This record gives sequence, C-alpha cells and structure tokens, in this order.
Amino acid sequence: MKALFLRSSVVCCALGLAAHALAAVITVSPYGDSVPVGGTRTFKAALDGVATTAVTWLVNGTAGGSSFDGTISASGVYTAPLVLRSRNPVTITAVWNGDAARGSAPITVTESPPPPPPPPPPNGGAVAAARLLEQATFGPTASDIAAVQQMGASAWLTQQLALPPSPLPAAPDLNLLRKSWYMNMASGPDQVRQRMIFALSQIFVVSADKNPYGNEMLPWLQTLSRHALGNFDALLREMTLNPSMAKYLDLGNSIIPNPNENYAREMMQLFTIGLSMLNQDGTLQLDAGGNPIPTYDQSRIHDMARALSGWTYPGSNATGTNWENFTGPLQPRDNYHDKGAKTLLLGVTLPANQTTLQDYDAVMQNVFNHPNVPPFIATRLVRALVKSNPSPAYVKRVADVFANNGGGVRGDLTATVRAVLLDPEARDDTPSSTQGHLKDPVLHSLSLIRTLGGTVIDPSNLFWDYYLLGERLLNSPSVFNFYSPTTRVPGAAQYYGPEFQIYAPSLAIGRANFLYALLSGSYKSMIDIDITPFVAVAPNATALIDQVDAALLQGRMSTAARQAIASALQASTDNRERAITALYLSAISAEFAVQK
Amino acid sequence: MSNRAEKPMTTYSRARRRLLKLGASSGLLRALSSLGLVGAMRPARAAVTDFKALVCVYLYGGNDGNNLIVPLDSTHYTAYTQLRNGSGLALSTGANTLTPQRSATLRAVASPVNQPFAFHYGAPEIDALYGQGKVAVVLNVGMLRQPLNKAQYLAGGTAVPPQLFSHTDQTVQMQAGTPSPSGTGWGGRLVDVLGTAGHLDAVSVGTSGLFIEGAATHGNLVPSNGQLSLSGMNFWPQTAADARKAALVQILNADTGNVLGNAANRAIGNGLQLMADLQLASSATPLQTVFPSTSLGAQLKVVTQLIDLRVAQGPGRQVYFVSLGGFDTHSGQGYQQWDLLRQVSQAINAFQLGLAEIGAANQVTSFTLSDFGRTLQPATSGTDHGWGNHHLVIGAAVQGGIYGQFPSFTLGGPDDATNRGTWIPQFATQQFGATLGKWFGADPTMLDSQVFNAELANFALKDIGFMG
Repeated sequence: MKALFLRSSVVCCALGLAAHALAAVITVSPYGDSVPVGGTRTFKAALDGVATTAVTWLVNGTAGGSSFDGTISASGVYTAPLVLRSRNPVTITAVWNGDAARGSAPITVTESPPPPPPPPPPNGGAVAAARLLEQATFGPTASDIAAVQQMGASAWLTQQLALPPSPLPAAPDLNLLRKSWYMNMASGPDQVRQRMIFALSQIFVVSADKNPYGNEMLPWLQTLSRHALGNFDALLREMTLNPSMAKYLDLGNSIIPNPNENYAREMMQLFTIGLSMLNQDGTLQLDAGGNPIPTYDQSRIHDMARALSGWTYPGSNATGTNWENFTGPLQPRDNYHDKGAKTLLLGVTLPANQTTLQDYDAVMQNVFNHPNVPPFIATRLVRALVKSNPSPAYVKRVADVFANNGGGVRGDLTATVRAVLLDPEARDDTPSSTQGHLKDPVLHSLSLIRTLGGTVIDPSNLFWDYYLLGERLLNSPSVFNFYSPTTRVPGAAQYYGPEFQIYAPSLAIGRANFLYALLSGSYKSMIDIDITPFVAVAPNATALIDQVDAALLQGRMSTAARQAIASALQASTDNRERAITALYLSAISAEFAVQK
Repeated sequence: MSNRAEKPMTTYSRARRRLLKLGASSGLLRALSSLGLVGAMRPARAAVTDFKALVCVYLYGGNDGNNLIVPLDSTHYTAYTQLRNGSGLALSTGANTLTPQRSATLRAVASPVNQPFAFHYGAPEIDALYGQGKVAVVLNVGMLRQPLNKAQYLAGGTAVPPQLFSHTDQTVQMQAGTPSPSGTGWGGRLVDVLGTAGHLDAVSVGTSGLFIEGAATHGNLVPSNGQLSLSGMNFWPQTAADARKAALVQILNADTGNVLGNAANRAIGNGLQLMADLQLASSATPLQTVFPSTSLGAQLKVVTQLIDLRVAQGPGRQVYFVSLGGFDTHSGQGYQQWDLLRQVSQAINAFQLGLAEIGAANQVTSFTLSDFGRTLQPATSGTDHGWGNHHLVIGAAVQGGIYGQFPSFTLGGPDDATNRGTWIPQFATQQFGATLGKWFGADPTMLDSQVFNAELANFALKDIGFMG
C-alpha cells in the first residue's frame, strides 16, 4: 500500500513524462486463453505484479468492447461474441491511470465449447444382459454379462434357479450369521435365490433388535432360504411356526385366555394381503362411495389370533408350554388353544372344538387363498427386483402366474420370479421416465463391488456403516422393515420410491462417503476393489470415461455426466485421483444409484 | 443469558451476515451458487407464509409421569404417598424432592377446579418456565383409538389399541400417532401436508425417529455433533478437488429423464446444501447460550443452530426429533429419574434461551413423548409399564397451565386399567398432536384425514387448547 502511494506521488510529479519511463508495468492475465463463442472469461490486471482493479478495459482498442469483438465489463469479465469473427484472436487491454501504463493479452474465440469425448455406442447386448442382472442378482459381473448374452435370459435364469442354496453356518453367533449372509449375497453362485431371500426378508421381517442371538435368527434365515424359490404356501406355513418369528411377533406361547394378536395382525397386513382389497392388477378396489374396502377389521385379527393360539416352543414339557427354544418349529398344545368358533377372512367360519392344528391349517388355507395375495406379493417382488412404479398390467401378469403357474399350482415362487424378470416391461431396455428403482445401501454397495470385480474379505466391521445408512442386515428397526414399500418419492409424491425412506439428504451424503471409502481403498482390509485398470488408462480422459462407463453402465453414461467428468479431469494430473473422480461421481450419482 | 431483542429482522440479518461470511470462504457454496444449485434447491414455499417448527423430545423407555408432576391435594397426595412411600419413590416438598407447591385452575375439564401440584426436584428449570407461562402440562395422554372407559377397556376387542404395554409397539404407535401404524409418523405427515420438500424439513439429531417420517417426507439423521461432510472433496491440489466438486454439482443438476434419478440426485444435492448449512451453523457466530454438556443438550444446540439457519431462508415448516434414553427405570428409579429429568429440564431451558437469542421463541414449540406412563403402584423395584402419561409442551407460543385432570389414584378405580394404577388416557395422542398440528397450520380436515388416520374424528375435542 505504501509503495503504491509513493508511486502515485511520483507519477504526479512526473506529469508529462512517458509513463513507461517510470517502468510501471501492467500485466493482463490469463494470457493466450481461449473462450467459446458467447462464453465468458475473467481478466485480471496487475501493476508491477500487484493485483489492481484501478484499470479500464479495452477490446481490440475499444473501451468496453463491442458486440462485434465481444464486450468487457468494468471488472474485467469478457463476453465473447455470439458468432466467430475474422479478428481472432481478440486483444484485451487494461489501461491504468489515464494511460500511464497499459498491458494486453490475446484471447482466441473458438467455435463452440471443447467437444466432450464422444460416447461410444452403448453395447446393446451388454445393456440388455446387465439390466437383467441388475434385477436378478446383486450386480452384474463381466462373466455373468457374457453368460446371459451367450445363453439368453430365459436359459440363464433356468440355470440359476436350479442352483442349490448357499450354506449358512450351523450354530452361529449373530455376527457370523450376518457376515455369512452378506458373503452369500456378494459372491454366492445362487444369486437369484439370494436376491429373493433379501426381498422376502424385507416382507417377513424378523429383527435381532428383539432376537439378539444368532440362534434366535438362524431359523428365520433358513426358512427364507429353503422356500425362496419354493411355494408361498409352504413358506407361510413354515414361517408361522418358525421359532424366530414366534419370538419376534409373539406367537410362541400365545395361549388362552388372552392370545397375542401381534402375529395375526402383521401376517395379514405386511406378509400376505395388506389393509385394503386389491384388484388382480394391484389397484385398490373401491366401494360405491369411492373408498378403499378394508380387508379385515379388529374382530378378524382377534379371531385369527384365537385360531392361531395354543402353540409353544419345543422343549421338555410335552403337554404344557416351554420357554423360548429355537431348535425346531412350534408345537401344538390343545389344552392352551382357544376352542371357540371363529370367523376368518371372507366370512369363512371355523366350528368350535377344532384342534390347534386344524385351526392353524384352516387359517393358512384361508389366508393363502385370499384373492389379495397374488397382487400383493407380485407388487412387493416387482418393487424389490425391477421397478418402484410398475404398470397395473405388469402386476396383473405376475399375479396371474402367482395364482396359477400354468400347471394349476398357486404360489409357485420360481414361476413368479420368472414372470417378474422375463416380463416385457422388465425387459424393455428403452429408458423411460419411471423405470427402475433407487438401490438400497446393500444393493448399491454390493453392485459396485461385484461390477468392479471387488473381493469381500471380511465385512464384519462394515455393519456399523450400514447401520448409519439405515440398513444393518438382521436389524430391521421394526416389523415395518428398513423402509416401507409404500414410501413416496420426495418432491414427486405421485410416485412410489420405497428406498427413498433411507435416502434423506444426510443419508445420501453418508452413502456417498461409504462408497468413497470402498473406492479409495480405505476399507481395503475388508473389501478389496482394484482400481488400477482405471488408473492405467487415466492419462487419457476419454479412455478413462469410456472404461468407467463400460464397467458400471455398459455405455449408458449420460452426456451430462461425461461432460462434467471430462471437465473435472482437466484440473488434475494425478492419475489415481483422475480415476477416482470418474468412478466416484458415476457411482454416487443417479447414473449408478438408480437401477434402471 | 441473552439480551438480543426478539425481532425476526435481527435474526434475518444475523443469519445473512453469516451466509456472506461463509460465502467468502466456502468453495462448496460458491460452486453451488455458480451452478444455480442453491436457487434450484430452494423449495417452493406456497402453502405457508411464516416459519414454525415442532420439536419432539422423546423419552425412550416410558417416563414415570406420576413423579414428573405430583398432585398435592390431600385426596391424591395421601393415596400417592401410601402407594409409593414403601418403595422410597414418594416425593415431597418437605424433603425438597418436589419443587415448591404451585396451583392452577385446571383447563380443558368439565369442572375447572383449583389443583395444587409440584414438579419433580430434577426439573426446577421446567418449574421456572411454568412460572413464566411457557409450559403446558397435559395430563394423562396416551394411545387410544377412540374414547374409552374402563368397562369398554375390559370388554376388549376392536376399541383397545394393541400391544399396550410393549416398548417397541408403543414407541411406534406414539410416534405414528395411531394404534394402526403403517411406517410413517405424525410429524412427518404434518410436513407432508404443510412442508416445502426442503432439505431441512425433517431432522432427527443423534437417533432417528419414526415421528419425522412422512409418506413423501424423509427424515435427515444429523449426528449429534452437527457435523456432516462429503468424502473425497479435499485433496491436493485444491483446484482439482474443487473441479471434482463442481462436476458433481453439474451432474446432480442435469435432468436424468427419470423421476427416480432426479430425486436421487436431488437427495445428494440437498445433502450438500445441508452440509453447507451445518458448516455455517458451526463456523458462524457462536450462540451465546450455553447448552449443558449432555447428549440432549448437544442435540438441542444443533436444533437451535439449524432453526437459526432455516428461519433465515424464509417461510416453511420443520419437525425435529431429539431423544434421551434410559427411562425404563425398573430398578434404581429414585436416582435415575432425577438424573434424567435434570438433563431434560436443563436442556429444554437452554433451548428456550437459545430460541430467544436467535429470535425464534414464538415460532418453535417443543413437547415430550414417551412409550407410555408407568404404574402408580411400584413393582418389586421401580415401576411397571403403564399407559396414559403426563406430557409437557414448552414454548413462548404455549398457553401455559394444566390441562385435564389427574386420574383418580384409587387402585382398581375408574381410571385404572389393571388395578396397579395404569391410567386409561383422558386425551388421545391424536388430540395432543392435533392441538399442535392446528398451531402448525393444518386445518381440521387435513388433521383428521391426512395426519391422524381418520381417528381424530372419534374424539369430540379436537383442540385441547394449550396452543391458545
């Protein structure tokens, strides 16, 4: 500041002398830049190296410039003309102190923004295969994509559905069980079954919040694994008498005179028929007044609970009740069973004096044959595997197969999952505005790991992260699951978006941080993702973007993302950071976060 | 604590000053502004023309309301001491285990009699706020589906809420505001009808709560230290990191052509905005109010900071969920409840001072919720799971006083569901919530059909009156 005053006084005294005789030098930066037509660049002036704003600006010698050569503001923001001119490059000049000094810099006006790297044509066959694998597995791998392309969707699915279930540990502690389940999802060969187990685990919810030991959760997971591709009737019957479920929803030792209604209520509301009568296409049936028709009322819950009373855990007492025991299914005790008559769903009545087993059997038949079950389960499975907002026609096609697999069998889950995955609406590879669903934290991270060929070494210490993201396996916060299937899309409430319930802004940031930890190697001892192939091509921005696009999106990366990533790459010469930029931004944005 | 005038404009300019200050130092905010994201993410604010926030202070485990506020008329107090003396749970003014006696004319009752009472000695700040007219005590509130007398309760069936004495179920039902929950809470549903789809609409601090989940409103979980950052955005050279950040914002801003894709990108964009807000909250002029160094104190400090920021952004509605655990004091209740109520009382007091400091005292109302009340008759140790409970509503907009009446303390009497002093609620959670919801700006139709599961219609009194 002091030097400047001094110089000013010198200038005053030396009035009349040529300014440059005083060696005052104005420099203008940037020098030799380029700007697209219509674009802007900010110029700065410095007086002997010290930034100054006390200058006026000229474009090709004209103060403030012109529409022909482009204009410049008092603060040095140059706006290029809208079309290319013959005088190019343009000269930007800063004039200091009434022309005591001036400096210039050229800038070249270019035709249009630097072209983004041209996207390679999407690989149609790979996209079709990858879409099937996104819906049917925990993420497409290169070898699975090749297999689907070679075999075709139907044959690949047939092969998958025939695979035996991945094993679960026999007598686990809870952490071991959680880890084994996760490993099965990450790398079990029976991917379709694993995806179905995961979907069903979010319908028939049991939580270690109430069943805190591994042996209290294992029977639940075994039943899901056993019947995930079996029959829904068998699944429902086994789950009803499953000791894990019996503890979680209190059917174990639910006895006269006050049977517990918890299981009866949630089994109907969440596992099978829901609260309102449905059409076969999943839409609500309405009464004459346009209102939904309740499937049941509290009296039906009460009677269902009475009909399901009299079950106890296996144990030493063969005639009375036993304390919690998870070694086998519940056992009937007729002397603890409510023997009165009951009215079930749809007016079905049970006579008095039936046995515990007879009433149980009648309840199972009554619920399983309720007309809501096919559209209810069809909607749940389509949402879990394919899309949050299926058309009613799609739901109906799946529900029809659930109701009858073609051979007269109701509840065939193998036929149902085939119907879900091979439906034309699932296989339509043309992007649409309501296609797909947001991945939940487990699916989002596992699909990234699988797609990049990562190795799950030991996930035990990751589950705290998953807890913070709202989805710690085995620990649903309530019977309503980690997220409700009826959650709406924030800001677009006419659409369903179940997974958005755990994607509030802070959780979206948390999700990004988790994926960053996986990509950047800070979780290498737990999950090893090798990004060196991307680092190797990183010197070439186009090659890097193409490779990330091919790996994560099979060539579906949007032009906006390609452009944005390309511009970010210009700012870095560190190949590892360049690779992470391309992978990270693709992985956390909707490009990869939404399964389309 | 604070001599700031309670003028909205003061708050406005104060927050704006902070915004400018941060704007100069935050590359993120610059990136957001330059790409138009700050503007784009600003929600439309059509429905409401002012700012209000509701803060749920959830007491996990079932607070013993019978010892939070004790009736001192001789009929009640004699029964109380007879039942609770033996286990050492009876409080008294003489032993200084109650605050000095007050009295109030009961409100929202058929016969407005005068009722002497006092608060638990762990809650002197609550008592003082009561003295300033900023506390309403709503007596015997709990989960109901419809008004219920003892005969109806004993008859059972459809009228009685299920799983009344189960922590997990009642935690869900109280926050859902209905005995038939379906995965959303009444705070979230209030924001569904009144909110603006902003990134600060629904915030839980420390622990997430169903209360703030709506059908289209999804609760932010903010750590109790109020810190949130995005990984991978700080590395050398900073220009490269800034470019990565700018590219992210650019991707998030682009139309994906897909409803779910746009919403997913909006979630991260809103997250960046929330990050900037939290950064602003911690880096800007510190609050002068000193919050107690307890979990609840830290949570309510973050809430105060976020309200300060949110007020500056214009009209809107916010719901907050903060919580304190440990109220299931089967054993050791005497010390533990004192310790817990002390934390609640001090934190709420600091919160009121903080709200006054930022000029938002009239716009923010906080209230307690808990799983259930506890039995008046002690168990072998402590007390057992009960039903109706006494709750506090705190704020400058509150019409202070005592609402409803204490249940009859006769075991097996008309108010006792189980012969242990298990109160059949005189007010439903839905009525309690609707009174707050009306102040929040919801009309009666919205409250009944969209917020309270068409169950509010079962109750004649839709507004208990404690919000004036």
